[in-house]
Amino acid sequence: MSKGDLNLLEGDSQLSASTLPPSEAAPQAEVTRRGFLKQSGGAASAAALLSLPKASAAATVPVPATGPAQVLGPGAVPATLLVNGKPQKVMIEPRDTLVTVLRDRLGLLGTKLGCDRGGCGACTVWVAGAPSLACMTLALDVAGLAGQPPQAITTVEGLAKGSVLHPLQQAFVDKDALQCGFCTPGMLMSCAALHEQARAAGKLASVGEKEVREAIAGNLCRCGAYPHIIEAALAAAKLPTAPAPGKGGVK
Amino acid sequence: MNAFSLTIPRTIKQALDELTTPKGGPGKLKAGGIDLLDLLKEGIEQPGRLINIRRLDEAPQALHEIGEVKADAIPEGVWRLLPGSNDGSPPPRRDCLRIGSLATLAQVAAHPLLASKVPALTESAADIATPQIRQAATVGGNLLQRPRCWYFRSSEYQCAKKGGSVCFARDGENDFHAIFDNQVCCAVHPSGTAVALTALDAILSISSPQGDKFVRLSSFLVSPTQPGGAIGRENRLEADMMIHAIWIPSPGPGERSLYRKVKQKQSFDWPLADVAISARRKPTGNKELEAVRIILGAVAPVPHRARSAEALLLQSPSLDAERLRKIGQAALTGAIPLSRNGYKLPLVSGLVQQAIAELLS
Repeated sequence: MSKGDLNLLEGDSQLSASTLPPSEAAPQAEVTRRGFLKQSGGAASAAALLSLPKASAAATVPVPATGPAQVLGPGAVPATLLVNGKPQKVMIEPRDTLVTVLRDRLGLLGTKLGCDRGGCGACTVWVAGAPSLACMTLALDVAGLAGQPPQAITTVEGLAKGSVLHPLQQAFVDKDALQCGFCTPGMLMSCAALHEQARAAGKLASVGEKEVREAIAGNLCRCGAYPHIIEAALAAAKLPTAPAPGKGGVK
Repeated sequence: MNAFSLTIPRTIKQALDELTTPKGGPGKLKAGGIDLLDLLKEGIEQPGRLINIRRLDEAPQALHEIGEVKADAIPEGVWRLLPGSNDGSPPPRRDCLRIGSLATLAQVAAHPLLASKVPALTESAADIATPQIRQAATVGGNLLQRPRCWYFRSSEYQCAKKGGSVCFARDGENDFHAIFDNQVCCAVHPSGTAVALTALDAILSISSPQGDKFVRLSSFLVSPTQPGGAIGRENRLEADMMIHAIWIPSPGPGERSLYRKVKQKQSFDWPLADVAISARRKPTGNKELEAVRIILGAVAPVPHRARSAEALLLQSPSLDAERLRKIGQAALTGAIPLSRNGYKLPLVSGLVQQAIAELLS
């Protein structure tokens, strides 16, 4: 038995939301492809729309730091998500991942569900400003619960400021940085986070291909549009800066 | 994913209590949840309860922080496991780097103090998975990650590691499997930080209902054929314990380390092979080595120490091509490749030679 083993057996007792910007996202009035399909497709999809919760203030009850452990579920529990600056009350099961709640409960279909195993990056959103995988995050991990405020979630829908596209979105349009478009929301969130971080550090001008490649290392594009995506991310650094894109800031 | 309840403890003690008082079946600790969600989605793990320590209230700094602890403040348990003196007296106290187990891989990878003192660790953390995963995955969770063997990860195969009687990889698709110690279960240990931390002789402090326990990482990780090992597990963490912090003896002058990894896909991938080396030069200044640890990853059920290569390297500071080749060959001592992973022999030999040349030239 090694010394390490003995120690493991012996033991030793020596040790002892951010402020929310008001929601800028105006309700979409235009006819979208998906909206059109839903309306013309009949009642089946209406249920999803009916279940959309109304935006309301987060009702998190402060509780003392001491107390018993909270037990949630296994059924759905009421929780608050802070998505694109808006607190949203929603019923969440412990096993629900963030991507399913965003898409199926909140109707935010911009975030894509690709591999569902953290391998493709299509579901990338920002959690407290950092690119995160919505398929590998339990929704309750980022929800407001008793005593804990919700973490700020930003999806691709929260990237534009009203009708003004985020510089990355504009650059993706200008540089034709997509083919089928399935990876685009995730790509945008990874690239825009790099953009915002560099801008906050005053280093936007020095963003190079190496930084872009690192930022999108977790985003797969089956069409192989990488050259245009990288070109767009580099071009965005040179676009005029849009005012305060995104909600909740970037870490 | 099966339905489960989510327990949110406020303190470490509550988390451990929840693990040991199984109301509603045994619980499973969840931190970043990256590996666990994978296992849940495949149905490999089906716990009735998850105990979520990701948002633990108590002393979050103790679990998330990275820093240096002065020699006189390190816990007794860590002190006793520090590299010893040669004459049998207690090891000298020394400063240690301390990493809370809930520190994320992104935090570790970007930490300036760690980068200057233990580059092997920051290099290994920076090369794991993707930016998004490093943002959530914790260093404690990375050490406890289950193997990536596709038979183990598939619900279709009741392999030996999951209580079945057959290791399907032994005579099957074993391209990414072990070349050492592969007769019982040939899945390789998946953790890159484990390779680096073993080279750095890290010590774990572990919270348990009986108080804090301390163990060297090198004896914490066990293959099925090692004492204390079992085919169903890769380490000696009991069901009522959690890793609390990682301690690394602060390198002194003349000590250096590095980590190198070969991947099939360059953007992100698990290693085909990886290596971490830590070395200490004699104070004489003539490049002679006093101590060296060469740890190979992705070649065995746990990080594999290449002792023959270490011994050869210690013999002489000369690093001409012929000596490097011999050291690379020595790193393969005891290797028995499987039907489809013989490519790992030249790969590991070359990787070791390259890493030594880079670290010591």
